[in-house]
Amino acid sequence: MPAIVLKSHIMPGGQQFDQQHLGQRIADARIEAELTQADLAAAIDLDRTAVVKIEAGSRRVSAVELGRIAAALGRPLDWFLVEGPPAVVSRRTDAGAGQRSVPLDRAVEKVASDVEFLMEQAIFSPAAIDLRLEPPRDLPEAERAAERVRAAVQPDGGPLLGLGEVAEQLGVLCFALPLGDRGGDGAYVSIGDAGVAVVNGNTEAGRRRFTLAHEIGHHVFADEYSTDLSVADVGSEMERRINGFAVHLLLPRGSFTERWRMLSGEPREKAIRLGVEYRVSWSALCSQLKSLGLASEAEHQVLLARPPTRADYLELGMGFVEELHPPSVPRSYARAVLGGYRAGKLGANRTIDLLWGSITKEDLPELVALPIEAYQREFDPLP
Amino acid sequence: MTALVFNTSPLSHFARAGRLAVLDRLTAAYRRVVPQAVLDELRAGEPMHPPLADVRNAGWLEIVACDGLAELRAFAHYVRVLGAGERDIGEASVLAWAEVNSGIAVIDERAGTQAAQARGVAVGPRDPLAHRERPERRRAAPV
Repeated sequence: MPAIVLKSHIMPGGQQFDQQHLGQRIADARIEAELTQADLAAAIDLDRTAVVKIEAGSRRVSAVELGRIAAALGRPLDWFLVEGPPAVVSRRTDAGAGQRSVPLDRAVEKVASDVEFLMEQAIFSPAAIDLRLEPPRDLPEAERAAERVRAAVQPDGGPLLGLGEVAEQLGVLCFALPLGDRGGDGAYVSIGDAGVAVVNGNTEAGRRRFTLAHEIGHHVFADEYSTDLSVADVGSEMERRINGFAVHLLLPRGSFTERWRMLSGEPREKAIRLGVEYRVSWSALCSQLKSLGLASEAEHQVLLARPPTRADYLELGMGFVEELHPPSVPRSYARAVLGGYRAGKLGANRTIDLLWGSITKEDLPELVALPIEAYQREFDPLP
Repeated sequence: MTALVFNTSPLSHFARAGRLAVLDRLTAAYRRVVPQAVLDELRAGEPMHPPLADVRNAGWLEIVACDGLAELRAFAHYVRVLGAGERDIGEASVLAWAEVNSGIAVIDERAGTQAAQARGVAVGPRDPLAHRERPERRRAAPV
């Protein structure tokens, strides 16, 4: 699970962005979308020769065409034109080391660009407690870091419920999006002081929380190591420590152990109860029981082999509360976007787009009429 | 010559009323421009409102592609404000072309008007005919 640096959008040597760059950007996006020039041409109702010329920079692209190209290639329109910041993305996909997920990449890029835009337009300014820690050098340090973060957000101990809101307090904006089977687990990118986490909402609920806890780790550790890719091992070793951080953030040694000892009954039933209380996946729970010495290796194997069923939950009278259901966006972000819409700073379609379809046009608040003074210009003669 | 850049609704209102010629006379002192995206939108409305075809045949309206890099950049900005629906694309082209070519955007959408003003783009009267001919009525019955 190494960190990966996303391709930079900065033009080398401060070159002027010109028609060739625009064409190149279109070609890059087309290739990444695994389309041929003929496929793209068909999708946007142009001849293939026109696409060839556009990509070579020898034919201009109209606004309408660019709109169609962006839609066909699944990229935000401005991606083709704006020289974005070098987006340093660290990600974890348990599918295998270094494996890229195109849906995840796209989602991160779009979220990052949207958040940046809203900040530029003074529509959104994330507020968070400033908690940055040194990257842990080993697993005990990772656990201590988790304790410090918990002390800041959950001084009473106990389960961290509503992890999306907890993340927001810490300056991590979490977007849980439906990225599908090939969407990986999640990714993190920092934008100024804010951090953005994209979590694949199509993974299992406990795993989504674990992914977010992991991304919180990237945020508080300032994630500087991820720019250093020269030593691949450093990345994966650090990922392992950040996983350790995530486990201890969700299942803290002290209060978790105490709760385990307090419960009576056979181990599997206790484990199911704690899984529900702490809202973690069965595998994360079992492995923490083992690493805290609450279950032996043999007990761990037995537990792992028998994950809870729906019948188990019914019998215990418990339900697993699912957080980070897709699509969900951070609360402060949603408030800001809707505020921008009310203030006339964002159009209806853009508002829905920014909220990832978590609301429909019918849900949009009715707009308060502008004061009459706002129409003053209408009575002015034409210049 | 300053350009008036028309969005869909003013053209649609005049065309559907069969009075496109009046709009021509009223705005004769200007260069009159319509982005291709707006024409596309009007064309899509023709089956429902056949008089919209008059816009396509109005020789005094200059069709612009909005395809320079500066225009595309401005266009991308307005799409980020308005969205990328069909109507948004038309409106964003109007604003982008007006911004780059120092034209006056003739639009009547709220978010678009604010976005234009935030970037110093002149926004024209929502309805030049009402403004010129019936100022009293307009004042008496604000929107």
